Amino acid sequence: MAEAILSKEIPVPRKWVGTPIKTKEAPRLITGRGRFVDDIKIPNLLYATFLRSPYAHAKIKRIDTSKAEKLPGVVAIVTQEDVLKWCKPYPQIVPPPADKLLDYPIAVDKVRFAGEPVAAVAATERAIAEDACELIEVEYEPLPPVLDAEEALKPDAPLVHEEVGTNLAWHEVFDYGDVDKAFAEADKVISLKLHHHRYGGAPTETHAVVADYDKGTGVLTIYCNNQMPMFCMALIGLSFNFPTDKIRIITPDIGGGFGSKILSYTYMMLISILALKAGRPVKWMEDRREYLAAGTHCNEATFYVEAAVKKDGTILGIKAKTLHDVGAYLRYEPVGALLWIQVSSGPYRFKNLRMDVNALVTNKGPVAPIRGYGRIQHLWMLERTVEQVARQLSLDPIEVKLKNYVRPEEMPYVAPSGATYDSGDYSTALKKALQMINYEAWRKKQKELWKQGRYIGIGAALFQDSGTNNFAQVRLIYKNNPFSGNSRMAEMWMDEFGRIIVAVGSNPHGQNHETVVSQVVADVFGVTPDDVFVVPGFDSWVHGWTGHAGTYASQFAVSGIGAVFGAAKKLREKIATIAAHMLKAKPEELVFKDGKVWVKGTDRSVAFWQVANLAYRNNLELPEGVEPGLRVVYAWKGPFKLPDMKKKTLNATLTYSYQAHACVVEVDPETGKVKILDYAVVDDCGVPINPGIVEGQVHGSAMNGIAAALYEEYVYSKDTGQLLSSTFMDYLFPTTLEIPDIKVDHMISPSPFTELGTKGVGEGSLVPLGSIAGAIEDALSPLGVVITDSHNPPERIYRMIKAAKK
Amino acid sequence: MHFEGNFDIKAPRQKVWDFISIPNNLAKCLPDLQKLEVAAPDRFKATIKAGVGFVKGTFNFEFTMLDMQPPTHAKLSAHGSGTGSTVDLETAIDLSDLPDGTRMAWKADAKVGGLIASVGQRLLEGAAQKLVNNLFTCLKKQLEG
Repeated sequence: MAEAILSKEIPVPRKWVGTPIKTKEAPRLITGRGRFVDDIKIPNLLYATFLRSPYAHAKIKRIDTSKAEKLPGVVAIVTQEDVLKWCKPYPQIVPPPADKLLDYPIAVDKVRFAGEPVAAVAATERAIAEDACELIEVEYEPLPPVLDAEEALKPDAPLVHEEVGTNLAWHEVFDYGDVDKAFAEADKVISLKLHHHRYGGAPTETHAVVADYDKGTGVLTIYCNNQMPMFCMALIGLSFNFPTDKIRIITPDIGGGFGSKILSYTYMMLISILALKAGRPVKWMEDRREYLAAGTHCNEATFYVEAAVKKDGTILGIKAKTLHDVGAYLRYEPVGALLWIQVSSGPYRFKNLRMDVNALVTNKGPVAPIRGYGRIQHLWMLERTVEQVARQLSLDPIEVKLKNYVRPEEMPYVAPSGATYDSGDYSTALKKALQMINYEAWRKKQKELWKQGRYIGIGAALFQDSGTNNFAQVRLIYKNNPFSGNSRMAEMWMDEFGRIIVAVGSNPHGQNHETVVSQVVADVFGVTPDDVFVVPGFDSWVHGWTGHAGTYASQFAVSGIGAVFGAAKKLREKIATIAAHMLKAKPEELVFKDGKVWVKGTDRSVAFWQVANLAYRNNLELPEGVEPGLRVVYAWKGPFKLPDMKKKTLNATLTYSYQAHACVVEVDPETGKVKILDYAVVDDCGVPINPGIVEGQVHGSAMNGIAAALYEEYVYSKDTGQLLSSTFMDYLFPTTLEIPDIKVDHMISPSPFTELGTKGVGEGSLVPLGSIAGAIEDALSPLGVVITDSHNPPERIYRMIKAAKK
Repeated sequence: MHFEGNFDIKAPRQKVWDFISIPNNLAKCLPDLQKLEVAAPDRFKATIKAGVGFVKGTFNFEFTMLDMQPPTHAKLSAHGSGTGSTVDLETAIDLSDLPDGTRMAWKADAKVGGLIASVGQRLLEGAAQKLVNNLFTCLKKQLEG
């Protein structure tokens, strides 16, 4: 990496930032020395399990726990009675009438999805708790379930929430530019119906909670693996009848999240209530079947799209009506139905867009902010649309994409929704990815291969990963929502021996924050990353946090690092003030190097511990006006504005990483099976702090996308709403055998909006959903097959081929 | 799940009707019956052992006989739970004369929920079909002697 300056304010040489050093987390995690919630050992611990609804929709007539309570080893059972004493319903972020939606951590009066918790049992052993569940008698009155967004919209559909009076929880129309004019001027209008399927993240570690109430101090300690527990305190604090000042939240090592470990605040409260009732600490470790049924899915969406185009392939405008199937409760919804505003026109430069957005509740598992939340559905829809535009105009899909991409010289680019793309060169990225899979050579061979009866196709797509969001976006759902901006807090101190310690308000679960924070801080203080200790995990009594704290939405490299960098500069300034006094020099003349502070161009220096000595134990020698100690707190604030409520526009996200994926597939016409022959990714995440970590993130996101495109799908039975893909036997989580070698190359478009030029990179946007759909459609183009679903297992492809050949 | 079929029994219609309208007789053909409790002439509880593949357990069923039109038509409604699962069953039986016996035309609609429905779903239809076949084979044997 070039000797670039890290920041304009303090000339800090970039020595560690940009270097792929080995991570600090890896040694303990790969040698079994990680410490997860299940490793928490407390005396008198009880083990919990849940009785869950076998029905997708039913009234709860009666719950009788008497037999279960008599089982030796059972200490406490919690049902809706207890929950109604301890909880108020969760606040909703939608306008009336859906704001009346009743949402509790346990089923109350009705069960609304198969797998919903109905009772919780705490016993001396997990097995006893499970046996006790068998003894709990629940009398249900089954109700007809509604299992499809379009069915849910019908006036005679069963109501998931009678108190709302409709299944349409949110409806809003966004109109940008002049859509009617665009359609009037079009040479052709393309229409499509698309469906984005339901799948989820599948972390190695499922949800887990340990709740420990100290009767002496009145403190409730909740150990959990939630990705953003302090953000969830907004919901816990307004619902749980327990004083929030005495709630302490700790997250140790977390085994993956992918957005699914966000809605577990319901479990955090339930296990706490169970612990309070039992008078002993309680642990709950979710099993995989519970996780798949009730651990949260991604937004399932149906799109009715129309595109107005010129015959040369220029896109004039797009209209889309979307139906989001969000499951039985809203929880974070309809944010997932809104976040397309971050990527409104995708990587394309058309200005006219009308979105008619609908969020429907159904009797399925609730959806959560799964990786790419709300954006991948939209980006996939745009990619499918653009490719169909090309095919219906008899043009090359790749050429049409390149033609319509935002140009690098137009950056920063204000997209129709007001969201501003910071930087990027989409055309170069796509062309590079195509080069890596030998696009030209495959195109030349393709016609010949078709003649031989071999269906080989090439697909390429570019998805943006919008990061660091402006929470004011939720005001576009309902103007009264008291949320805006973004922030992160970091606390940093130097101990009296000159050692640097950092505590950041984040909940890493595979992102290696300890490593990247060390790299940034090492550069500021002229030390090595090993000289910086980042307090692992998260403890709300130790780590600084704001209401936005957590690890989600592709932003740590911007917001978390922004807080760390700010704290580092503040601490460095204080040290410089003291050192300048000791060295009788001006702070501007000082240089930080090798654990000491030097006067530039001389051999006069003072060690960190010497500075610390004055601050901690020897403060009569401190300069005037300097407080004892070397501890700072810094909160990064996102440079955002409130939305224009009339136009419904706002700058929703600060940075735009992006990835271009290109792939070659072969489709077996007899079985519908897809084989990936070649796969390439070009990633641009702005300035990478640790390229090694970025490489891992890119591989992970690509795997996730390939799995979603070909293997992973949550399937419900059509009549009874039972989750059929309820174990890894049916929910096809990929192994290394399903994933091809993935070639990766990088580009760097620094963000002009962040101090270090970094951009968030964690989500990666699951681009294979686009590239693989495109490749399959390309392979089967002689048959005129159109891919309209984001999930294409062999059976679906087989049926499409059969139908086309008729 | 929906099942239907015809069973031909070499016994006169009245004999078939008399047999199936008594709970104790029907219960003789339930799989692995553990306990039977007759609450009324048209209502009885049975505890059976059944399962699908490796998911086996004990089920508590409540049967109600409805819409009895002797000796032609009967409905049997059942609700069962156990092993983290539920079964809701509606069956209808229609008897008609044959030259040498009786034709029993039957229909059944079953809604299965919980553990068996999700984990056992691949095997569910096959297992249910087998259960039904065994039930009617048993009934036929009982009636034909």
